Amino acid sequence: MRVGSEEAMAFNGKARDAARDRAGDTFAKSLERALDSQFRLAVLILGDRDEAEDALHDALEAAWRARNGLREPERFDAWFGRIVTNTCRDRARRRRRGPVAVADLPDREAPDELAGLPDRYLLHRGLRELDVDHRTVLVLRYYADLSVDDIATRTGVRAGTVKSRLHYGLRALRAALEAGSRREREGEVSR
Amino acid sequence: MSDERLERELRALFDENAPVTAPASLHQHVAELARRAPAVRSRRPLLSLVAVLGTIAVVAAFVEIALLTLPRQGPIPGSPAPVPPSPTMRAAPPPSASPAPAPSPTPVPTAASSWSFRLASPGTLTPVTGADGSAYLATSPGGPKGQGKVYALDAAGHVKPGWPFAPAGVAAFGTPAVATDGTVYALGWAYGKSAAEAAGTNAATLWALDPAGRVKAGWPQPVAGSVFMGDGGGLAVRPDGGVIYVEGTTKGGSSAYRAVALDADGRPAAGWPVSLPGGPLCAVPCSIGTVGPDGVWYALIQLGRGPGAEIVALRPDGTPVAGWPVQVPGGEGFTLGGDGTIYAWGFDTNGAQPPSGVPKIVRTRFVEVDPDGRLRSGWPVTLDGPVSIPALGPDGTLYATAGGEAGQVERVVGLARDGTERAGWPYTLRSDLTAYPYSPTEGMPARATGPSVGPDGTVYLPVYRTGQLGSAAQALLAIAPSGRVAVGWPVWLPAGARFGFVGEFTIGGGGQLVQPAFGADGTIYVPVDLASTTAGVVMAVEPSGHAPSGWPLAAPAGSSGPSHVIALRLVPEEDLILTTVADFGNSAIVSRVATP
Repeated sequence: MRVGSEEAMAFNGKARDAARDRAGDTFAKSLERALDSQFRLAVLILGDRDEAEDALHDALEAAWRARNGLREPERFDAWFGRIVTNTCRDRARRRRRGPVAVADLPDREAPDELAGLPDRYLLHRGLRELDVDHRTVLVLRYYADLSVDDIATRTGVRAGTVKSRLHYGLRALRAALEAGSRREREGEVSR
Repeated sequence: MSDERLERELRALFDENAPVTAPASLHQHVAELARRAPAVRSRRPLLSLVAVLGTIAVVAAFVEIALLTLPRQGPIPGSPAPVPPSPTMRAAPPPSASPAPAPSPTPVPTAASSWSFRLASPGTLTPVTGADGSAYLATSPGGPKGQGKVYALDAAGHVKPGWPFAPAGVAAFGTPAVATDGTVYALGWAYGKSAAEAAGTNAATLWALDPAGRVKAGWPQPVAGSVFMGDGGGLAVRPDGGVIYVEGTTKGGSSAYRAVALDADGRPAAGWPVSLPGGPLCAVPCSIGTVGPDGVWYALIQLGRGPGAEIVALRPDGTPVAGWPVQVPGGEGFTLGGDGTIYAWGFDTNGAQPPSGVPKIVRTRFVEVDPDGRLRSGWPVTLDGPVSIPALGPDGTLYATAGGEAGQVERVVGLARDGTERAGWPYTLRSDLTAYPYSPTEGMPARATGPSVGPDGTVYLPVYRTGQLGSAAQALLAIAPSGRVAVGWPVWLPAGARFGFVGEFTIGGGGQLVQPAFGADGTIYVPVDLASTTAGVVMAVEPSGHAPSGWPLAAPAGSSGPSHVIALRLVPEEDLILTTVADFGNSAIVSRVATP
């Protein structure tokens, strides 16, 4: 009986392992499917492809370790999206702990792809000057087209806070555009 | 530009800048993770055991790490050897300015905590301790269905009978305050009440609980209007066992503030409430009002909307102390010295308001005020540019980091009691070392993290190699009271490690480093995150610059994702109370860990 029990346990263990293998494959496929869209979000939130790649790497690791905590597989996208958002935020904050990067963008040279688009350039610059929390809600709202409630879920804050950040973020961008336009008129910015 | 056009431009900008696909390295990484599945599976028996053993499992999850050995005595594992002493650090061989080497695995045993208490929601998690060793912490899960609770843990870490306190309809509690007789004061409020709903209906309520968790006779008491909370909870305990808080009401567009004092039975204290000339101010860390040993309540009050501010001092009977209030233009914060001296600081922005709306700090003023309200001779002291929140040395010396803008610290100043620079100071930082910037006050620019002062007067400052934040070059600098780098310092963190931050997984925090704790022997305890483990780690360094045997230690961790120690405090028995956030900010663990 004793041997039989051990055999039964071994068999059950193999069955569990096989089930886990299948679950792992399914999970990996979900990650693979979500990778491109989440990378795009990370690039926009962090404003830097290398940083975004590192953030996604960390997020993949974190998601893989936490995969047993995913209770509703049909909500994988939101679950993984939250991990990516949190990872980006952590990364940005660590980066922010350095001296404030006031020279991230050139003062007198617009990026090539934005040449001829002063508003776009100033907007880009304004986004870089926003903190990561405000930039994140703007990306989730105007790129990912998430609702305020979905952004609240994704970022772990109240809907009112999301609205406030959207409002403040847009206001700051408008201020950056206006200030840039003033400087432009005064000849401080050339294109 | 109209809202519509701005939003349209924003969408177009995002579309233009979003890459089409993720790099191949990430796709390869997913494939590698899938191949890694069997290795993960091999750990399952241990993890199953973890699930069964509940809170013990939090510790057990790191047993694999603990199997590795630690040096019994020596510098922080993985760090370069201590450098020889040098007043200017010039003799100290700086670590390579080249990119940091890949972090090597650093064995970190998990702390054998005397207890750990896990909460599903972090909320307000700075525990306070009572005279009997009980720890009190409030949780505020938030949301319309959130239920705020106040927990009382006994010295063994068990929830005491009669606790948690969770009155219906209360969504959030501030950090409790504990009176010497064991009475626990807790401010709680309902979720989502609008100002109109709150007007006259008391959105907030103040409870007084006995050590058994029962509401005391005469309590709860309603709070009229907004109540001001600081990190310390916004409550100050009076010498008679009562409590003081500040409430504000808005009517017709103007606000009125008053300090309310209640006795231990919930009755208004004689002479109170007292109208205040404005709302309270505080920096991070913040407490709204402080009660001195003589029972005088001090608070920093903003006057109007401008930079005007003053410190008020009210006796236990509500009357102002002669000589007070004291003006502190641009006041940001103050602290009360052991001898009753008030140390206060404020900023001058020259009224400059750049387009970003963040004012530029052009100078910083410090004042020392005697208990009778007289400005001490030699003060105020004005320093150019932004200066950190100061730290107070055991002899009353004020230490702060000062220098250029954006956290580019040039020196650590030491201001003696007479307002002059202490002999041997300032300490000038080498140009390739930078202190961490953070924003202690909302709407103000980032400044340098301030120093901490040990019981022997040694000044500690976390620094990183300029331009290499996030790589390997982070260190703790110790400056002796003489103004020279202490023997055996700086201590460099292992490759890839970084100092712990208060705001991990949370919105806000301003990039504030976790305040270190000091043992009676001068050992400094600092939270760090290592590259080799996802657990939050506490580093201990003796005044000699060496790690005590068995340190650093990993704090009890969560079940998924990285864990971070966001607060630590030493209790009288020389144990550390650690607060750790884990599971991507969804849970928190409070634990008690013995020190050497």
